[in-house]
This record gives sequence, structure tokens and C-alpha cells, in this order.
Amino acid sequence: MIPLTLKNVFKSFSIKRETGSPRTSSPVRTVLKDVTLEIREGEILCLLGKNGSGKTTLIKIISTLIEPDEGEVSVCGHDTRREDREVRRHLGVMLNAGEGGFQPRLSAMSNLEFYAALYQVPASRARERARSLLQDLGFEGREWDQYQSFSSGMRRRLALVRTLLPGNPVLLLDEPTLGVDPWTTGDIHRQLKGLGKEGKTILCTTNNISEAKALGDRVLTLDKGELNEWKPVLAGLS
Amino acid sequence: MTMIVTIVNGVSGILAYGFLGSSAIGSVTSTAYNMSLASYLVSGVAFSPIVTSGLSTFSQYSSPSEIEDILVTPIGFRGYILASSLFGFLTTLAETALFFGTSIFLLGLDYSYNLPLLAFTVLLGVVMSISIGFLALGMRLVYKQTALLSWLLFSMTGLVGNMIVPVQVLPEAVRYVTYITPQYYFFTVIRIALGNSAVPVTSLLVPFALYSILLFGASLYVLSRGLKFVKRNGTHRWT
Repeated sequence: MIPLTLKNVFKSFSIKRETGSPRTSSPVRTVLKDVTLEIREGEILCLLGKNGSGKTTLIKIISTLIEPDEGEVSVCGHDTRREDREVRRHLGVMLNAGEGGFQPRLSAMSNLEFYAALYQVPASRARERARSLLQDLGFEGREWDQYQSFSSGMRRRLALVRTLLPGNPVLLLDEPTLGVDPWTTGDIHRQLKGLGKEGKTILCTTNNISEAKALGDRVLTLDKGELNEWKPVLAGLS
Repeated sequence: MTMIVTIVNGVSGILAYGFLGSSAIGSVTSTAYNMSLASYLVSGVAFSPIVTSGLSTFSQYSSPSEIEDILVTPIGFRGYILASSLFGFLTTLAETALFFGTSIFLLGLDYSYNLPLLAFTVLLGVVMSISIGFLALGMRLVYKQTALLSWLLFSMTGLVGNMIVPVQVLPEAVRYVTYITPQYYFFTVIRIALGNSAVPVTSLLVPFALYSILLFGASLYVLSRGLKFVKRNGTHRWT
């Protein structure tokens, strides 16, 4: 079974304009046009695109946050429209903002334990796994610090730890290294490659070409809503 | 918004007490609720956080990133915010008890306690508060703001909700507005539970219970509509 498939997905949004502004373009913007995609088990697919190219929308459609206008999306054989809760059980999602859902006065560890409980991960296993992930991503000695004491880069790293914690088979990561220092970025890449070898299916969006090349088993580009193979020479981006 | 609400509440209190005089209002509270003016005011102020806690507690979940990071988990949105807000609600109840107890001790107030009625009214108050919180969240998902609802809630509580101004001193036309606010039933039944007055409680308790259940149902509907809207259009941002 292919863990993640999208078939002919379309999505448009109506744009709100300031009252009285000139009507120079359509008030409807098509963000995804006929997107078809399959990601195999253990594959890391990097989705490269400019700001506003539709990467986050694609992640949100797969993670059941928004519904496509047309097309079908399935995660581990479950349809995102009909079995949204079942889909979310198989997903680890790190969104671009990535800092929601944390309790500011709770420690990194307590926040992670609370989150693991939502996925019904047994408490002892959750703590053990959280400790290991926190150590790998630079939280050694700070596991019990309050969330509100962390810098924005650390919060982002903690959001990644939270995403990896339940050990779900499909991971959706929306620009996971945005604002993270280069040393930790290397750690994150190593972590994700290790997870790929363990059989996790990973879709990772980025606007960083070097990151896409370093991390992805396959790199696709999303431009004006259309998905294409990445061709560095033709794009003048090599 | 907070400033406007504070001003509205302050002005309403000043107008009511300035025009009628505290002794006149004291006479009303004594007749209607069998309690002194001080006892009336303390019971209103002490229990008011229960009414507003839903709106204020749930508002922290209304930012796009909060909503999205909750919606991608397998747990339902309502279940998540209720579980996360449990501590906040317990804190509000503890604050209410502390304020009420301290006021009794410092001001030497005397109440009679119908504890089963008091507990049931507080429970209905919590249901009402959760309903108002859900209603506000649902509206925020669609309209991106809840300023009108907040203003209505806070001004109704202070102005015509029988919190600090007895309904009996309000002009007749305003009283009709009072009877459609859930706060009126909450504060009035609280006064009956604490004042040992001769008012038949069922005539207020039954409408209050029905009101709370209806409000809860309506709030679930509004929140579910809001979540459907978000699925179609995204959260506050269009992407």
C-alpha cells in the first residue's frame, strides 16, 4: 500500500480585498491545479517552492485541515474526507507556525507528555521517547524548563519533537528548519534521514534548495499550483 | 473593549445608585432577596467570573496556529479545549469561593445557604459559560472577531443581568431585555440560594435549566458550522 496518495487535487480560495480597491484580477485564486502525487514507504519527498506557491495548502489538505475542491487524498488507505480522524491517527504534522497547542507554563517534557496522551501513547513510553528526542535535538538539561522560556528557534525544534513523538508512519513537515540554527538543522536532517530508513514516509516543504537536495530522496517543485519534477539546470538553480 | 465594558459597567452602576440612592436599592434587595445591599453586591461580584470564564478561557484557542495545531491531532476540537480548560474553570470556581469567603469574613455578611440549589446553579452557570465560549469561538472562526458578543455579554452582565443593579429598579422596558439574558436567571437563582427569600425557585430554575441546555445545543451547532467554514476556507489566513 502506498502510504500517501493525492489524485487530481484542485483547491481555490476567494480573496478578500480592501473595500474600494481596483478590481485588477480575479477574486478567486487557484492554489493547487490537478496535483497528483504518490510517496512510497520510507521515502523523503522534498517539496520546493516560493512563498505563496501552495506548499502549506497542500500540507493542510493532507492533514485534513482543509478540504480540496476536487480530487482524492488518502493516507495509509484512509480517505481524508470520509475518515479524517483515522487519517490524523497516522499522521505527524508540523505546521509552518508550529507553536500552537503548547501550554506556556508547562515544561517541554510535560507539554510532550500531554501531546502523547492525545495519541494514546503510554506514559512511560512517551517519556522515554521524549527524553531521547529532546536530547537529539538540543534540549539536554532543559527538558523541565517552562515552554515560555524558550527562544523561537527552540520552540520550533520542540514542535518537531512533538511531531515525531507518537511515531506515526507518515510525517508532514512544513518548513521544519525555518529559523533554526545551522548546527541544529544538521541534527534535524540526520534525524529525518534516520526515520526514513526506519520506514517513515516524509513530506517536507522548503524554500531552501540546498536543504531539498541534502534531505530529499526525491525533489518536486510547486509553482503556480502545479507540481513538477525539479530540474535544477533548466530552472537555473543548480 | 475591556475599557469600554468597564466604563459601561461603571456608568450603569453610578446611574442606578446615583438616581435611586443606595438606601432605595437596599430596600429592594431586602424585599426581593432577603439580603442587605452589601450581601447583594458581594454575591453578584463574587459569582460573575463563572459567567465570563468560558469566553476568556476559550479565547486563547482562537488564534490560527492554536486552532490548526489542535485540529491535526486525533482528538476532537471541543474535547481538546474542554480538557485543556478544566484547570481554568476549577481556578475560577476556587477564586469565586475565595472572594466570597473573604468578603463574608471581612464585611461580616450573613447568608443562608441552600447548598444543593447553589451547587446546581453554579453547575448550570458553568454550562452557560462553556456555551458562550463555544458560541464566541464559532463566531470567531467565521467572522474573525467576537467584539460584539463580548460587549453584549459584559454589558448585559453589568447593566441588566442582575449582577450589581437589581432588576426591580430598572425601567419596565429594560426589564424585558433582562429576562432574555441568561445572566439574569443565574444571578437571581444564586440570590435565592443565598438569601432564603420566599420567591418560588422553580419558576426561575426551570427556565434557567432549559435556557442553558438550549444555549449549549446552539453553541455546539455554531461551533460546528465554524469548523466547517474553516475546512472550506482555511483559518484566519487564506492559505
